[in-house]
Amino acid sequence: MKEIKHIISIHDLEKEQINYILEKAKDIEDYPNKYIDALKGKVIASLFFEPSTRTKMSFETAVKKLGGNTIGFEDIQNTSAKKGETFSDAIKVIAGYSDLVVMRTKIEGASRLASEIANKPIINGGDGTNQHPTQTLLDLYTIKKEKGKLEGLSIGFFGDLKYGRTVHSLVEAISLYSPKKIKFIAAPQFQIGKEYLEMLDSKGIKYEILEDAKGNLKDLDILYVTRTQLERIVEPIDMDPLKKKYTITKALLDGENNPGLLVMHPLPRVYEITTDVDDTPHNIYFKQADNGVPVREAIICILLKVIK
Amino acid sequence: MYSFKGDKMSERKVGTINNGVVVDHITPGKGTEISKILGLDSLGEFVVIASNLESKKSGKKDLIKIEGKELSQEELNKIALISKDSTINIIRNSSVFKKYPVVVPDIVENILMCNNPYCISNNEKISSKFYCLDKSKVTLKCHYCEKKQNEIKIK
Repeated sequence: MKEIKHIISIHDLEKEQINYILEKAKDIEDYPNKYIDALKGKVIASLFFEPSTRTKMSFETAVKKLGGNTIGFEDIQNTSAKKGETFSDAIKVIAGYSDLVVMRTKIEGASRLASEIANKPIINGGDGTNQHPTQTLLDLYTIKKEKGKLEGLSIGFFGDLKYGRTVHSLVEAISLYSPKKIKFIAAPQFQIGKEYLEMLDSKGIKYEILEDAKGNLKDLDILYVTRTQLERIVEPIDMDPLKKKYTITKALLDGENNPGLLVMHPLPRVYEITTDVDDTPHNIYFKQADNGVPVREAIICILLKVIK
Repeated sequence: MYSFKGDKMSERKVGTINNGVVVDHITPGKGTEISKILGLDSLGEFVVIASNLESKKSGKKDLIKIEGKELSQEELNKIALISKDSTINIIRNSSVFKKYPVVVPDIVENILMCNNPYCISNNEKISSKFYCLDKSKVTLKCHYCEKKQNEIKIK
């Protein structure tokens, strides 16, 4: 297996490397005591140039559980970027203080640049609309943990498939595991981009483009639901008529008569899943969020070579 | 500099050069853009830019003749990115010495600007870098923001 030096984009990772990360995350989750001092004496820089709650807290929890320390900021206003310092200079200096850098930026490709100019491992915690690879890895981990496998599953994607980067990355990643079928369920204006369908065609993976969830969830293993990325939509759009049609409810799931169907969501949820789904066995979205911690622990340990 | 326009203008009617280069089979309408990126305005040499000439190969074409000029690899790459079907004729003693098509490069470094305003390459003083995914459509992918693009913006 090729060495994993940074985690910048899901495209950089080979299937063998993804499997390795998931395997280590499972070991960390099952045997946490083995890793209590894994990051003893290590300093992780947590640079959130753009606000984040879950990702930042999940990374910082991961570092604390491994016995490490964090430095960093979550507000660009408190940094020397305000004084006009370039991103490149800031990264070189901060990388010098720390053993590994996690960053989230609005500017796309910033973590790629950081990985080329800093002499420490870089983790992309999300760069604008581009990549959020640790989310994709925790999504894969969740599917594997709950379904016992990644190969040959039937997966539905529901909601905003056009703008949601988590959907794009997961479609690409799951395509490495020969899915039985993929269903893209969305309003036409939020349907998945042609390039992803071409990618699936090139791999001979079957898919369906659908507008309605009703009647189409019976044969799925996983339903991945996303929030509408209103902040990324340029043209104003009346969401009210779409909200009702594009909401997953307990009644809808009951009607599909598919007790094995697991519902995922990268969170935050707005209206796409009603709260009455929370108390059903379909709900795995909160477990999914929890899985961010062991997966990020594994990634940090692998990049810092403190795990074998 | 002379510029000719007209449906029936034959390239034989356009001035000849002794030693230099002819950029032929330029996509119609792209001749002026190529002239601009080659800096022909300030070259101080005999230059002919012809638009909408008849072409057996593609119906219409633009063409540029430049006296006393050799094209660098970077200039050839720029021409290929703007007009992928162009051909280059090296002229020596008024005859064609060498003829070859331009080739869209696999990796394009520091020639183009990324179309994404949020890309780090537009926000930090760094070289841009693109990978060519499809040479027939000149589809490029930015090394940094990973956005695919077909609109070419020369730096």
